[in-house]
Amino acid sequence: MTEPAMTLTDARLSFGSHPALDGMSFHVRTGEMFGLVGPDGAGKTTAVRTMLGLLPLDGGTVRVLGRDPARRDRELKEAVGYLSQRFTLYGDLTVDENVEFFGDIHRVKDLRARRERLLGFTRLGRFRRWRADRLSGGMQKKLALACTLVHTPRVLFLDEPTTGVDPVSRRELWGLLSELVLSGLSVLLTTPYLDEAERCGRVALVRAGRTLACDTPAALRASRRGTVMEVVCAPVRRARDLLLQSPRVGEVQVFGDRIHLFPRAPDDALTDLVAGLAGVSVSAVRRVQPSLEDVFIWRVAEAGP
Amino acid sequence: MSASTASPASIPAITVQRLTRRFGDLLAVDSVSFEAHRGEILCFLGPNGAGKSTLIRMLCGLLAPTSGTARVAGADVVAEPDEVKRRIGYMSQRFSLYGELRASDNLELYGALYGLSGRRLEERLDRVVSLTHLGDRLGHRVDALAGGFRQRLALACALLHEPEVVFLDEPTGGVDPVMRRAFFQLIDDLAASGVCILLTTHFLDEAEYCHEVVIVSGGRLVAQGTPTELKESLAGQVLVEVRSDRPGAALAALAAVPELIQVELFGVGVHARAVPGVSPDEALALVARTLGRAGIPCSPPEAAAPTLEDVFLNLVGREEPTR
Amino acid sequence: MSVAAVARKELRQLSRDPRSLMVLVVLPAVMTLLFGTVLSLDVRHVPISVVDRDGTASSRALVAALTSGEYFELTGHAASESELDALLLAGKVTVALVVPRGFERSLVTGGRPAVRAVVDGSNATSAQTALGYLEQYVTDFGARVEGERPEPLLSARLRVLFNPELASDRFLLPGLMAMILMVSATIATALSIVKERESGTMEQLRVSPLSAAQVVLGKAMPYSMLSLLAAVLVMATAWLAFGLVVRGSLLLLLLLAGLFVVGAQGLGLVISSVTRSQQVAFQLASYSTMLPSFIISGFVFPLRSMPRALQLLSAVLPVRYFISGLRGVVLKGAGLAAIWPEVTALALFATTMLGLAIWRLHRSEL
Repeated sequence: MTEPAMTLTDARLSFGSHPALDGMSFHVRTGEMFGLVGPDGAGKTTAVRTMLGLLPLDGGTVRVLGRDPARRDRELKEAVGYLSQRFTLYGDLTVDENVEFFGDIHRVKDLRARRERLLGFTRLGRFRRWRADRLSGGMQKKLALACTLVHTPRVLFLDEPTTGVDPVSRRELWGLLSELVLSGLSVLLTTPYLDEAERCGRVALVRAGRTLACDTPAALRASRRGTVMEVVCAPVRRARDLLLQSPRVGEVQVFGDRIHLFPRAPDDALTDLVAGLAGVSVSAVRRVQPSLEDVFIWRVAEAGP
Repeated sequence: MSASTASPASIPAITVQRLTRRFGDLLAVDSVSFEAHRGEILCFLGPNGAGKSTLIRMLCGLLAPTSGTARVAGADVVAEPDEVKRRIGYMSQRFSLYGELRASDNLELYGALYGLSGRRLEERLDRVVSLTHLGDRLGHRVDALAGGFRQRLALACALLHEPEVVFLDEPTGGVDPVMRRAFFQLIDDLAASGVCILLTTHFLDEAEYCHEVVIVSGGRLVAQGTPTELKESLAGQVLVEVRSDRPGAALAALAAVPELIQVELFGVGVHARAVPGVSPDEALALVARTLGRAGIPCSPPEAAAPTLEDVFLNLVGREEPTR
Repeated sequence: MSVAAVARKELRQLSRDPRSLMVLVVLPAVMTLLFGTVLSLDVRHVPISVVDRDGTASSRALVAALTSGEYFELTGHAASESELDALLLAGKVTVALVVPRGFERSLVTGGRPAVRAVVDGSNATSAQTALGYLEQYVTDFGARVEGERPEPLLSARLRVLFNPELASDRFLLPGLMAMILMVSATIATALSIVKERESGTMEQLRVSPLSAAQVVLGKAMPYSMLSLLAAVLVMATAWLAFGLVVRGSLLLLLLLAGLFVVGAQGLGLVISSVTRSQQVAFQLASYSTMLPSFIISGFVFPLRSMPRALQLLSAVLPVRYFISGLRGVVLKGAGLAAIWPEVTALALFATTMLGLAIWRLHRSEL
């Protein structure tokens, strides 16, 4: 088995008395799209900064392409690309000039050709003479991505790349990232959106500086064993109140126009119970997979306070 | 028809008719019409810049419409904007709380702003605190509280004067999934007591918690319905999900099939949408056959449930280049 | 070269920000013009009233000599000393002169007549200056009248070198120019690094192979060029508007100015690398340059008359050396041999500041 592209092992880091990283561990394989998923304050950005060599750890180890990033050696810097959460563009420079600048400081050979390819890839060619601050949020992210890729890195860190980006641009961005991964790039991205985690090859769910779980999205969802029944009905609240009265029901999650039913016994489909709800009209019942959000919340509850 | 959990009378708490707002050449809100009832949670879903904030501001009486009418909590936004402000609760995106003050100070401040005092203020404070489960954090400084608590505090401040209609502008930015769920539980209880809640968000999965979803794009209302109804609008187009060790090859093979559109990489596999008219079974078989013939190993194809993101993207095609 | 890439980027950004360019390049010259016009320790058109008890040709000649130039302006002859007092009290005149009876006779017969003057001392500086002029005029008058007689009315004769008219503007202009340049040069770069930190681009630079030295030097270069241009404009303004002619070598002047602005910008970059917000950086840059440049640099108040502690403090100010070097080259026509200490001090300051900025940036956390 080839060595992982990036590893974080039992990482510990505190800012004053506040533990930002509290034993977080995971590894990213070569050519993989890996998602670091968790809410604000989970330690995602801190973990990324550590892997870039910007923050030294108090305990544990970090390796990128087999090396310690805290050494800040030049070769590693050339192999790594980073797209930070805040905008990392020069708003008063044009699209062309931004790519040129980053290409220059990385001493990219044959910069012109490379720039053409990148602008083509990100479909920004038409806007090359536009000042970066005139672009929409989604386009700015694409430009930032292009600047990150100019020196052909082997490893890419993306810190919340789709935050604040509209859904259309988000999907385009994902398309680009998928293509990059296919071409052999190892990508670590952080996101607070659990639905985005589904698009990753493997995912680490993190919270309060620790890893809750780490596996493929499918495996994670399957890990929460048992049936989940989705019942589209009305009125939703009445249905919930009635269902909670039954000992066969473990949990009821209410959504706008339907409920997710978690039976206590894994194989109990509760169909008869659902059919017999008084004063509730049921339009659809089906078995569904638990969502990653369900898994996340369940793991948090398991992990305890 | 919305599946609203109506209180005794389904009174429209918000009525909007052809509401429009222009800023010079820019048409920020384009002839929007809808209705929201008491006890209902209505979600305005749309990307940034779609016009949600402008719409909310008009409904709060903060911005005058260019044309069209709207009645909120019984008051006309054009003729009586101050009355509207008195009757609604508003929770802003950044929570608008004073960080250096304690939670209880903030509550008292907002109470005073809405003209509450004495016994009435006391009663309302108790009520609101118990509703939002803030009991043990009242004495803390706000900037020492975690995001979830601040969120609830901001909501509490908005509810002090017992408004009939509450506007929540992007209420859950970046908050923990656990806290988010708890928050929506709160919202649900609030709706049950008869309050009409209008919230805006660009998190597609948040819309799932709402009774009715209105999709806004480019200032226009492009779709409206319950989350299920909206997803069913894509029922005719089956979404197939298949996992493979060679996703690139799978992508190429499936993209070549004319009956499959919107083929894209997804995780360690591929998502492909079938054209309307293809049944789920046919779609699954088609995918399996194509990959089998190309010699690409894969898991059995499954029909994936459409998400609101799929719905959204189906309605709103192209990317906007400028701000 | 990466340094060139950084410099090119900075230059591009500056060229898109006309306001900053104006402030950096043109404003110093404008300030020089404004303040130069106003700033002068000279006192002109001092109102004077005379009681001439003698009424002779000589006494009239004395008064005429006093008031023929720019310095004194005769408001009129008074009838009595009490009238003079009234005028002084009312502030209508600053100087009151009484020429005694027998003035001419005393002069002609070899006596030593004295004229009496009363000066309104409520503005001490101008009073002293007016007194000084008075004494000078009277002495001159005495010398002219006597012709061959070697004994002057006053015991000392003053010979003023380099600035015979003791025109204060010549004295003050170099200091003014230095102060304006220092402030503008430091502020310009003080915002530069902080802005990148605030916008998030600094993080991107840190992750790239760019070293702290490359960032600092890349930023210093374009700003230095522009500040040097500003310095040239300032000196051109001084020449065109105030007739300040450079006696010494222009090249030496440019060297001095060049080293000076690099040092000022180095200071700005140090400030930029230790502050977190543009607001704070701006304030720090302003306070650390304006007051010291004005008070303890030798701009207005002579260094030697200051308390020892302040003199020591001024030894680390580049402005002090620039002013002294500038005065040397402009007013005295000094060459490198005479002002090498100043040149060395400025060069030392420049390298220290840049080094400090590089070190701070290298070590700083984001």
